Amino acid sequence: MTKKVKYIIAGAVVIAVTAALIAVWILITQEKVSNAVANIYQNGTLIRSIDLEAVEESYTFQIEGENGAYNTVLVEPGYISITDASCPDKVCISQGKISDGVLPITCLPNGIVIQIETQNSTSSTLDGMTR
Amino acid sequence: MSKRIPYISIFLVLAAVCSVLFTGCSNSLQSQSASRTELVMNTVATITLYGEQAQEGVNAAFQKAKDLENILSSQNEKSELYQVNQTAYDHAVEVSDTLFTVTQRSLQYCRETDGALDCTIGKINDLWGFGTSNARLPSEEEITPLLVYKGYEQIELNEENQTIRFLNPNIQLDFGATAKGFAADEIKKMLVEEYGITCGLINLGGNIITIGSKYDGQPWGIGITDPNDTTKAISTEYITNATAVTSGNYERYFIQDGVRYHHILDPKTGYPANSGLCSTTIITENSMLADALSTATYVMGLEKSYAYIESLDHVEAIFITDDGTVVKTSGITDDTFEVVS
Repeated sequence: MTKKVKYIIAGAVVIAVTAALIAVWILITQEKVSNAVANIYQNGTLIRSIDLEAVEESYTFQIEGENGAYNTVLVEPGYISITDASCPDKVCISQGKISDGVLPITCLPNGIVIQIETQNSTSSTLDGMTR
Repeated sequence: MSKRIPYISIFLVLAAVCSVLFTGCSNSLQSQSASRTELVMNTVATITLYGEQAQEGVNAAFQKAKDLENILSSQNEKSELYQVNQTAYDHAVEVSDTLFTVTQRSLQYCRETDGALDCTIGKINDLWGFGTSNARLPSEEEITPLLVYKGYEQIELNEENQTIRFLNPNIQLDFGATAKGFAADEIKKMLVEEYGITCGLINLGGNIITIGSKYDGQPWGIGITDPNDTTKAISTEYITNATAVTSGNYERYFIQDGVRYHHILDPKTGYPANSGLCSTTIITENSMLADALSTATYVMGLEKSYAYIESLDHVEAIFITDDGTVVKTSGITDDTFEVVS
């Protein structure tokens, strides 16, 4: 084996290792940016954003609407739900807690949507849910 | 031997560089993404697109949905359909291309399902008021006079003049079982043809239609809602360039005196269908067809629906019965469905 061939091999190995490290770094940083922010919309307007990963203690607050309409929101570490509402069907309450962006909580009569936005998704998670 | 070594070196370098490039490619498509959730067409819609024109596509998609709502809503007093419902009894009303097309195709689905779907029970739907703040249990005296046998045969369409005429005063059009599917198809067509979108997911209140495959080349994973816990999926189907639409009794309902009344009405009785099913999901290529069939098969019940779906090409279904049993038609053999067209 000549000296020149040895240099070529050494160079190739360095490039290969560097490229592989870059690929791994891209994949790792992709996962790290993943988080869950609950965006609350009232009649299409964003009224509040809550980073669910930053929540340490549970709390509730009320969204007031027209003609005495209201929805009580429960925020827990990693989860959000509606626990009380003035709407007649209470479907928003029965939708339970959500923790990912697959399915929003909706209160059609009061015009409320709670959608969790995630920075990232992987192939293993659901992309949507029919209902 | 020594001559082969440089070739091995070149292969190593190429392989490593390719791995970076491919990681970067899927990352780049993923980074060019846009997503928005809004209340539109009396439901919550989420549209997520990938590609250079993702943001423009999302904006145009919601505008399209709102335009269609202004034509097809049966509740919005300013919509074209609302006006037609007020004036078309015994009087031919000229309508837009969109309204005529949706009416024509919806009536066709009513005939094909032998009335399990009937989009002329608008007055009965209004009595119940599902999804509005006026939801209530109507009395039998209110419902009975509005029951019209095969109401969809009491509508006269004139293709040449593009007019609609009602032949019975008790019918009104309601496209709650077809409009969202029609909108999903129209939005997808626009995004593909005008915005060059090759990767995206349109979710109109659970009516899902996908554009191509995911940004990483994998099929889209679509959960079928568990009727007993609507935050969870009871089954997952993987689809590429297809639509999945569910009709379930857990979506819009109210409870009165301990009885649960859901929004899928049996056109023959005017009351919520009680067919032994909790939900039916249709997977096919055309979202309007899927929308219509999901409602019709829910009303038909398992046995009749299973046979009916099996008789159709490129249409599959997932039924969930009241006792929680999941039944899939024969085309869904390995949890994967791809439209063959």
